[in-house]
Amino acid sequence: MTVSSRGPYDQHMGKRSRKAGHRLASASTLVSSFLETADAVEARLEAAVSPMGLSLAKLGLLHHLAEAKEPLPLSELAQHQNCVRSNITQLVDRLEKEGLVRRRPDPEDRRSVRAALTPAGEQAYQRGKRALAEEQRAIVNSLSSGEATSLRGVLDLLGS
Amino acid sequence: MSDTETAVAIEPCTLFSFLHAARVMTDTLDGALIETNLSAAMLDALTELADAVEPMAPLELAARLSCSFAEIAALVDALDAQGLIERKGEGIALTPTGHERQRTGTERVRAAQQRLSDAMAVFDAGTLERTLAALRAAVT
Repeated sequence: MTVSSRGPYDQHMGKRSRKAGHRLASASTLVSSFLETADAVEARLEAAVSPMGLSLAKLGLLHHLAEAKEPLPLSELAQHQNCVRSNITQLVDRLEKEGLVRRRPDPEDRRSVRAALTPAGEQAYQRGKRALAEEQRAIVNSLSSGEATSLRGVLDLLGS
Repeated sequence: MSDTETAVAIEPCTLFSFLHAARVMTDTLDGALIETNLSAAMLDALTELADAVEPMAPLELAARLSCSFAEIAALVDALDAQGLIERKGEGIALTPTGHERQRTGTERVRAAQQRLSDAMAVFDAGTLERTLAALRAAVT
């Protein structure tokens, strides 16, 4: 299986429970087990950033804006987050209300709007990033050395 | 390997590649249904109804699919709009078209599962299952 390299928070927009639907997946134990494990990992990571008022979807958008270092069109954010434009609009609405991003007119396209990271958004992103890194270390550190080595092997194969 | 060495071996954020792989799998299963005009939830509902010996009340279907009554109402409406179910008294049952679509959807999902299973053959199944179990235990 080849899985393209992605940014850490990518594609968490429009996510749905992997357990919902695909009950037939139980016919394939490994596939089902993989998806259930991913749900559990994701729930744990969501819980790590939730106390900060963040979610993986919000962090994904903040991450993309922070990496770009410039305001980005909402259409580009939607494409990058693999979701429909209306979802990004709602997410930007929430982030704007919280003072983490603000909309700006697009100088290159009068019909378009760009989202810009505010200083508060940059701080929230850095806090969320640290929390996620710490949570992942905690998860990995709770594995035995053999389990961690196996996980490393799985991740290497997924990325190859 | 000490805890510190373990932390070094697994860099922060690499668990996201694991989540991304799961997303690819889910997209593969969803993609298998595109041409059938079904969602995974719709196929699950059709399969429950196909397995039932008599028409099923929407509340029972909601319980079997672990979803709310509002969600099942929307699902039933969507299936009804495609002529895949019919209402019989208090219950709902598959139409002949519904039976046919359920079979087609199931075949396509199973084919996609097989492709995923083939792709996962690069892993030793026992090792992978133990790793997944350890990871589940670590996060719950």
